[in-house]
Amino acid sequence: MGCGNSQEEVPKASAPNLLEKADYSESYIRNKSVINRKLLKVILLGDSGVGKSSLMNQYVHQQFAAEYKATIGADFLTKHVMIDNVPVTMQIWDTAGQERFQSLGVAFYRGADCCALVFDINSEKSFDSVTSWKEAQIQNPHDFCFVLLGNKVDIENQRQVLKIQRVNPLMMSGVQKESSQLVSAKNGTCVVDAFDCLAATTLNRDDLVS
Amino acid sequence: MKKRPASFNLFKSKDDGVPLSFVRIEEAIGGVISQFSPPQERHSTQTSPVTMRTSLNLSTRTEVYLSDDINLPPQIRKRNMVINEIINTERSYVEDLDIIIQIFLIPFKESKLLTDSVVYEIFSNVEALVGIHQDIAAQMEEDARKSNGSGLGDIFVKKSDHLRFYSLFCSNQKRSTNIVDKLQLQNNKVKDLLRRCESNPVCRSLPLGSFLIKPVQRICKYPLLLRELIKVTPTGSSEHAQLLEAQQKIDLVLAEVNEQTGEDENREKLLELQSRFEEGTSLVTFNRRLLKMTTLKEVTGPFRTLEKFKYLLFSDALMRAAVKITGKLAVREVILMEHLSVLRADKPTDIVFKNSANNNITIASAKTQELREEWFSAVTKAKQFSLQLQLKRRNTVAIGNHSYHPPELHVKTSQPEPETPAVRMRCQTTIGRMGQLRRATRDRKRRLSHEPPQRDDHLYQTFSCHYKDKRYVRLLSHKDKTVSLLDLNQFIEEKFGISNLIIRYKDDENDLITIVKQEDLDIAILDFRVESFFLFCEPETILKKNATLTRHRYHLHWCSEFLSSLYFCSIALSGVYNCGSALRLRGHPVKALNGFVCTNKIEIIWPVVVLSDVSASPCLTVSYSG
Repeated sequence: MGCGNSQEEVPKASAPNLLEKADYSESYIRNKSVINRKLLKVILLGDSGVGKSSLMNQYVHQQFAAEYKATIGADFLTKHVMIDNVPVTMQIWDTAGQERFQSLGVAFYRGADCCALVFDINSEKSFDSVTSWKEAQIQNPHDFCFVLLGNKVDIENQRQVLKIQRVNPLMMSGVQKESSQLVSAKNGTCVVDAFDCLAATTLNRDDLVS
Repeated sequence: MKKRPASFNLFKSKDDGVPLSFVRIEEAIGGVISQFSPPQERHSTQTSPVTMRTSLNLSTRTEVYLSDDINLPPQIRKRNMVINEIINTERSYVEDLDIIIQIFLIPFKESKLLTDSVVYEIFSNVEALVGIHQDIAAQMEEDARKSNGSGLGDIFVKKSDHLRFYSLFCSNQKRSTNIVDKLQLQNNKVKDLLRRCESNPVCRSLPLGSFLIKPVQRICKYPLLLRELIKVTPTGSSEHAQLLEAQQKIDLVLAEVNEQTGEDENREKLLELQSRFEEGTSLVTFNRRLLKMTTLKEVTGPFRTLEKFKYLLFSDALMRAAVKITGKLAVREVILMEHLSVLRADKPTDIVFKNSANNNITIASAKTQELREEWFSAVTKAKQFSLQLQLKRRNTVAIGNHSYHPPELHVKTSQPEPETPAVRMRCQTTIGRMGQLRRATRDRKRRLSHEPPQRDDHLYQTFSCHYKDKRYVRLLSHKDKTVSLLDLNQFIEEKFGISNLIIRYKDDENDLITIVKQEDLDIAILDFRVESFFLFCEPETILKKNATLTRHRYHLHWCSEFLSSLYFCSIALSGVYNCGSALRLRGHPVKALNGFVCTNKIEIIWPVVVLSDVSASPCLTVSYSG
C-alpha cells in the first residue's frame, strides 16, 4: 500500500538473524557489496488488468492477493538479488495510472534500464496493445531493453494468445525475445525466473553498450 | 528542527477572537489555506523527529475505516475495502508529502546553502499540495465515520479544482530532478545535507527524487481509484451519480495538468533547440512540438555532392536546416504541414519531400531503409494530427465563446453599487525594476509615514488596491517590516472607507499578512515567504446578485520571481471563469488562455480582481476578451 510496501526494503543496520538463511538471503546480498551493487530500474507497461502490480508483488513478496487486489499497488518495489554473481538492486516500477498521461509518464521512464511489456495471454487485445504501449510511451526506444511477459498462464483453458513464439518479428523489433516468457502472478510460475532473466539480459546489454 | 512559523497558528483556533467571516473564508478556501493551519498531529510531528517516526510507522499499518467483515454481502464488503484503500493511500501520501517538507524542505531552507529560488525550483509548490491533501484526507476520514463513505464523490468534486495546483508541480518536476542531480555533483555541502536528510529512517532509504515524484504518481491514481469505487457502487444511486461527476472532473483536471506539463517541457525543449540555431531564429510558438529530428543527406551544389542537412519535423511544419561550420544550424526551408507531402523514392533509403506551395521537391537519403520508413510514418502521422488539431481548435473556440462570456459581470463592475461596492483590486508585484521601484518607494513615502528599510530591493514587493477605479492604495510591502498593523488598518479605512477590515500582520519571521474584510468583500492575502503569495477572494456578496453566479471562488496562487526573472504564476480558478486554470510565465510570450487574449502585458480582469504583474520584463498582460 503506497509507500508501505517499500518499508520492508529498509536496510536494517543490524539484522544478523537474517544472515542465518541461505548465503543469498537478501540481507547478505545487501550487505555484501554496497559499492558494487548495480541498480536496475525496471518499468512495467501494459493494459490495465493484465496484472502488472500482481507480478511485481509476486516477485518481491511472493504474494498474490486473490481476494481483494488493491487498485493501486506500491509505486515501486525493490528487491536485492544476485545476477551472475553481481549483486543487483532491482527497482520495479508499476505504472498504474500515469500511462494515460504521456507528459506525466515521462518522469517514470526517466533513467529506466528495462521495460517489461506485460500482457494477459487470455486477452488478444492486451497483446495487440503491447506495441502501442511501447511506441506511445517510450521516446527513445533505443535506450531501453524490452522484454515481453505474458501473464496469467494459470488460466490454461481459456488461453487465446499463444502467439508469443510466432510474434511478427518486425512488430516486436527491439524486444529481447529470448527473455520473454509466459508467467503467472497467481501461482508464481516463472516469475522469479523471468525477472532474473530480464535483469541478466539488461546487464549484458549494458555491458555490450558500454 | 525549527519551529513552524507562528503564522501557522493564525487560523488554528476559531475561538480566540477570529471573526466569523474569517472563519467562513477559512472554510471556503480551507483546502489551500490549511497548509497554514496543519492539524494538531502535524504539530507534534514537528517538535521531534522521534514522534514523527513513530507516527509514520504507525501509518504503515492500514487502518480499517469501514468494516471488511467476511459476513458482509460481497458487494458492500468490496466497496468498504475500496474506500479503505482510498483513505489509507491518501493518508500515507500526506505523510510522504510531510516527509518532503519536514525532512528535506525545512532543513534545506534553514541551511541557507541554496538561495530561496533554487529551493523553490526543487520543491516547487509542495507546501500547497500538503495543505490540499491534509484537507482531503481529513474530510475522507470524517466521511467514512459519519456517512459510511458515501460522500467521497462529493469530496472529489469539491476538491478537484484544488488539484490544478499540480500543473505547477508536475511541470516543474523534471527541472527539479535535474537540479538535484546537478547540485549533487557540483556542491559537496548540498550533497552532504541531502545524504543526511535521506539517512533519516522515515525516508526508508529512498532518495529525495523518489519523494518528489510521489505527487505525480498520486494524482494519476485518482482516476483508477474512482473507477474501482464506481464499479462497486449501485448504479442509479445519488452516490453513483456523484462519483461519475467526480470522475469526470478529475479526468478533466488531469488532462489539463498533463497538457500543461507537456507544454512546459516542450517549450524547454524548443528553447534548447533554438539555441543551436543561428541568432534570430525563433522556434517557440504556441502548440508547436518537435516530433523528429535527424540528419539526412542531400545531393546539392554544382558538383552534386552529398551534404548533411538537419531535418526537423514539427507538429506544424517541416524544417530543413544546414549545418554551418560553426556548428550552428541555419534554416534553409520551412514547409508548412498543409503543403507538405512525402513519397518513397526508388532507392530504398531515399525519401521525397514535396512542398505544394512552390512545387519544390527535395530528395533526401536516410542512412537505412528503416529510418526512411520511420520518417515516412512520422510525417504521415503529423499530417493527420495537424488536421485533427485544426478541427479541435475550431470546436474549442466555439465552446469558449459560449461558456466563458460573463457579460453581466462586466456591466456590474462599471456600475458602482452603493451598498455592496464592487471592489476592483489590483495587485502588483514589483520586483527589482528600478523605475517601478522608485515609483513604489515614492508612493509609499507619501502614504506611509515610515520609511521602510531598503535592505533587499530585489525582493521588494508592493500590492496596490484600486477601489471603484478611483481611489487606490498601496497596501503593503511584505519585506517592509515597518508597516505596522495599525498603519495598514488606518490606511485601508482611510482609502477604502472600510472600517471593519481586519488585518493581520504577523511578525518579522513570517512575512505573512492577512487581510480580511468582513462584509463587502472577503479578501485574504497570505504572503508566505518571498516566493509566493496566495490571494484568495470570495466575492460572494457581489456575485450573489447574479442568480446564475451564486458561489464562486478564486484561488490565485502566484509564485513570483525565482531564478533571475523567471516567473511562474499559476492561477487556479473555479466557477464560470474556469479559464484553463494555470498561466505560467517564463519571460516568454504566454499562450492565450481560453477566453483570454495575450498582448505583451499581463492583466487578468475579473469583475472584482485585477491582478497584474508589472515586474516581468517584458511586461505581460492578459486581458479578458469577452
